[in-house]
Amino acid sequence: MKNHLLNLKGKCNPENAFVTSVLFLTILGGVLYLLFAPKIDFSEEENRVLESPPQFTAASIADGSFMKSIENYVGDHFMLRKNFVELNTRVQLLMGKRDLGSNYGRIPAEGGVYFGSDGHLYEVLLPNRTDIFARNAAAIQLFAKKTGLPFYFVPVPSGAQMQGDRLPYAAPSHDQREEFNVIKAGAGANTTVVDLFDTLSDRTGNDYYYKTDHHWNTFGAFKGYEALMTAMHIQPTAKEDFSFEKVSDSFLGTLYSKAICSSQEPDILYLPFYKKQAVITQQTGKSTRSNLYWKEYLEKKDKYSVFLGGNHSVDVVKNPDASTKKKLLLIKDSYANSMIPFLSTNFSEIHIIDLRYYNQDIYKYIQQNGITETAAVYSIKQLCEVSVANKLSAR
Amino acid sequence: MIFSSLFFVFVFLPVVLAVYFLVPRRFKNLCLFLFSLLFYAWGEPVYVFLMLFTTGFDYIMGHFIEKYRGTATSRVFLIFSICVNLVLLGFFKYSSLLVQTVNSLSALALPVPEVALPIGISFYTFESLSYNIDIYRGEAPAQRNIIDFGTYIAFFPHLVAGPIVRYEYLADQLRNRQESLEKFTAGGKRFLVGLFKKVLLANNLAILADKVQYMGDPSTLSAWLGAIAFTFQIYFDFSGYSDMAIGLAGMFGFQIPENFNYPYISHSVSEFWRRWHITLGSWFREYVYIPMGGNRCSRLKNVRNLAVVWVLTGIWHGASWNFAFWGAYYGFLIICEKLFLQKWLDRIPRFFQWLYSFLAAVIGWVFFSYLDIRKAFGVVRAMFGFAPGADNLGVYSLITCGPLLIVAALCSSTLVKSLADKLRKSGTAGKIIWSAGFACLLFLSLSFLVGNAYNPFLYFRF
Repeated sequence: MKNHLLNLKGKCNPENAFVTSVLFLTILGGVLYLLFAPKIDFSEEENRVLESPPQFTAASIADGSFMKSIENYVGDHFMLRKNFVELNTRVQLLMGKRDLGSNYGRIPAEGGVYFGSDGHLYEVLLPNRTDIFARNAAAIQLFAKKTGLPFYFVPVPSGAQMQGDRLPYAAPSHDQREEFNVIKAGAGANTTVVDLFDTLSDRTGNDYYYKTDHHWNTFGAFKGYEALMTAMHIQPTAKEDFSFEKVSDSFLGTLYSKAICSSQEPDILYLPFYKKQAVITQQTGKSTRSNLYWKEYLEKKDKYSVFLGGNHSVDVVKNPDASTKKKLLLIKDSYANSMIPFLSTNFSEIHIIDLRYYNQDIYKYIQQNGITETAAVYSIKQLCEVSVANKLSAR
Repeated sequence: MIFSSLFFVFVFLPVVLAVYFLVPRRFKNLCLFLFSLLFYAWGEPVYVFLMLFTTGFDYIMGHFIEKYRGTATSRVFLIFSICVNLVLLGFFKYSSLLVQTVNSLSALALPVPEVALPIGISFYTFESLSYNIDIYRGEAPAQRNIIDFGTYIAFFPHLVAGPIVRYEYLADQLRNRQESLEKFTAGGKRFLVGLFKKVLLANNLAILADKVQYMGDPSTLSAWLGAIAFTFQIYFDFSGYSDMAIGLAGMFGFQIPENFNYPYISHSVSEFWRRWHITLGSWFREYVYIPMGGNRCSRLKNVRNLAVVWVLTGIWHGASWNFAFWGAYYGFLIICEKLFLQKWLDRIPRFFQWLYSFLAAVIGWVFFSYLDIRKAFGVVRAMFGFAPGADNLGVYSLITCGPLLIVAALCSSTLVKSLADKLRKSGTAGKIIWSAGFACLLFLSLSFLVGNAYNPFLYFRF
């Protein structure tokens, strides 16, 4: 076998030769990096688990998961990954783009993130093109009807809805009042719908949303709490009874993960501490903690999970010294997590169910645990994107 | 597998090239054939068998067509081969459209077959058809070696999105081609040009086009921006893919035909189609239009021939009636140009000739990009003022995507190309600037690929 590389001779254009060399040196670098560089399993920046080495089996090839996995692996463990992602953001901004990370091919579509003024990032709100919201809203209302217990529905608007003036010039943003009005119109006799639109758009005091995360911040959650208590005719615990302590000034949240840019100013994360004597416990599965704050998360990227340690199928928060003996069942998304520390001062028991992870009969649960009130705390965007309807259909 | 992915560039490509250049000459086509099958199997493993069947079947048919050439038997084999190929294409691509249409026109409720479309089936079916027809006509000898034939059908650079290479064009290269550093480096450069078009331009334009389509009921401004974004998107996507295909083929020593030649500088719709997807146009001319009599017949028959060819060209692009409509739209314009419009066009200034051709393309793409014809008409109405003038989406898109649209417009003219060529020829400094710019664009493209930016694949319907 003669070396066939020798066939590659003859004159060639030097610029072509140069750019082809650059291409193949880059490929060589990329290949060597993929083969030999130490790998990380988790991207703190993007807050997600990176693809692990693909498993080569007949089944994984037949169903195509091997191919998907190896493609993701190459992307996730690419050399200079962070720098390339950052470069991408910079160039997009330089080209005049003011939003990033959209994907209209997905169902439901992903609108991405707006770069707002004052270093604020916002979710891009899109009109619904699926029936997920309609089905969720109907299912939650049917749930209220079936339980017959007092039900309080707290649909939380997104930052982009409440702080529209900070969006880029003329940025299109879907009006979440549409969904709110649907919820309001469908509410049964035992249901109170809590309207937070005016409350959260107020900006005379604290900002109510994080700059880099899609959640409301601790002060926004307090406003939501006050509104819910008022609707329930319970005296909310006064703001002065909490001390708000700054526990992190380097919080870069979920919106940042979609629009990575090193010049982004991080958020400050405050935790509310109840000043009065109280023994508040959180029971998650079989383990019980004497505290609602999982401080280990403050060392990680996903700092919002300091509240209750993120989402679990069921958490039970108990406070024997609460202002009422009521037992609340709360179906919710992660917006509720930062509201629980406030709610725990008023309810002897709060049963927190995240329907995304819950697979039991919720009606049985209500009977077995002597629930007296029910509530739903959901961001409107979540209701439009993630289906929970089937989880409420039991019984 | 798509070319504009990190996996292709950083894993598949180096492996194929390494194996290809290390194996002895007599195994080179086998190497290409096997890797092409792997490339094809990547997305949908079972369809490899469909392609192997097509390859084997057409190989055998080609043998018989040649053996009995000049007799009626040869014709029988040709017709049989054409039928089988078209039935396969029809079943996998058009059966669900057909059943749906029958259902909607009648009271029937036939079950709609759910067949996933094998990627590239329209491209390789047309190639295998050209093989048997070329042999029948005596324009090329039948291929003795099934591996060589398989390499022609399955050759991964042009497998999923063209160019459609006629057998006669490639027959000789399958046996006698010489890889060279010159071809390799020119191929590398060409591949990069295609990658830039796809990753930097098409994928970003796609965001705007898709957004306008997602939002629906556009204002006049949004409708125009969306339509223009798609106009440039599909050009850079498709021609970028062809560039990458031509570049890759060049690395292996092949020379395959050009597919695009600055279509948006055309001065008539007929000229546009001589510059757009050239290999598809010449396939239809060679195998449908001319055999039907082309223009060497009565004017009425000529019009009929044009109409047939253009509706077929339309429906080739996807199993949905909007594509047929899109084809008919072009058929209508081209017939008009043949009959009288060209004479009128010749009398108006060049700029207006260009404007007419470009607008015809932009409006055509609206019918192409909206599967629902009624929605497409709604967008066209909005473009011509039957909608609010501007909305937030339009203003925002104009501001944030304006620079991209300008770059796209410049790149779709010959301006950027001629400036770059001038720079390359202007001496050492120019060459260095050109090379450095190219390297920067490569890293920029990588940043878009690593950033997991939107990377749609347009040809899954073809």
